[in-house]
Amino acid sequence: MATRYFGVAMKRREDPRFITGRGTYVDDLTLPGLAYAAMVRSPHAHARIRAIRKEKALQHPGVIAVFTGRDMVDSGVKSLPCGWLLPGMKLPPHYPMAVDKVRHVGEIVAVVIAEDRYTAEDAARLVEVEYEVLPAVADGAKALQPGALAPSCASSSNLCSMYGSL
Amino acid sequence: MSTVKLTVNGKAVSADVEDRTLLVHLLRDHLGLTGTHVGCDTSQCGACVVHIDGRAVKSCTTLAVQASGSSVTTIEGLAKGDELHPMQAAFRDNHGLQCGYCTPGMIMSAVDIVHRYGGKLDEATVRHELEGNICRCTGYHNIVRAVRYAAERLRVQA
Repeated sequence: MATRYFGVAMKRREDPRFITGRGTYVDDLTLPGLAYAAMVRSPHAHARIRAIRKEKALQHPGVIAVFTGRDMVDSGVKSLPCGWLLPGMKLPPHYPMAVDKVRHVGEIVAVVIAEDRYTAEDAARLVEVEYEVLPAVADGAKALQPGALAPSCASSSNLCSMYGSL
Repeated sequence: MSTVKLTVNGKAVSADVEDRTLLVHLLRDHLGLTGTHVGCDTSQCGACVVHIDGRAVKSCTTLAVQASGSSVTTIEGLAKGDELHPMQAAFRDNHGLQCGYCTPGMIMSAVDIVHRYGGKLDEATVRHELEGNICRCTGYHNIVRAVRYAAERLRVQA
């Protein structure tokens, strides 16, 4: 065994299929009834979601469903857990899609499911989201100043955790 | 809808596609050539690079109709039967891949780079030329090594 595996360059068994384009990644699979998702994302750093109107998107031919963060919570999806909580660390709720409020540009506010990817993208543009834009803090040092806006209603300051000493 | 006629990996193909269909989706969804990947949807990552008439292009940023009448080579068409292209062999020999997702685009870009520079490639040139191809596994050390290794072998062959 020592002479086979140690002190020699090993060729990987999986490489031939990857260098010839014959790997099978998730995106390469075609399954019966396969549908495609397109995300509707926030253009604002901080805003309250006043309303999300799905009707036009749902009427678009080929669209199967439209879901919002609120739909997700109503169907029982809980906040994403943190894999490694430090002692005293604050854990504001964090959902895969925004619920009532967006807290960064690009946060997902809705998902459109359709029969093909082009239709899903088309319909994502038909989802109407009404925002009430709120002030945003986009600077780390300013975010730590007293009275800076807290990103979450669950905590009173933006400091998540102190690890070691400043 | 448009009828697109082109040559893909040496075979004449014809497909009816929406005018806005991207070349990468013609290859993957209509022709089943899933070796060409979509990594980012924003033209940054280069996992979708193929050759159109011998030039490397990002197929996620090319309409299928733009490739009409041309000759397209994908990663599936690079080897000659069971004989790997020297660039494919170089990636394997130099451990230039881990998960393999970026590899088809890396290899197609690298072949074009070697053609354009005639095989004389220093490290800085390879790194600069591969700016449009992103690997998220390992960094670029062995990828650059593989490209220079293949360039040297192709230069000796030529």
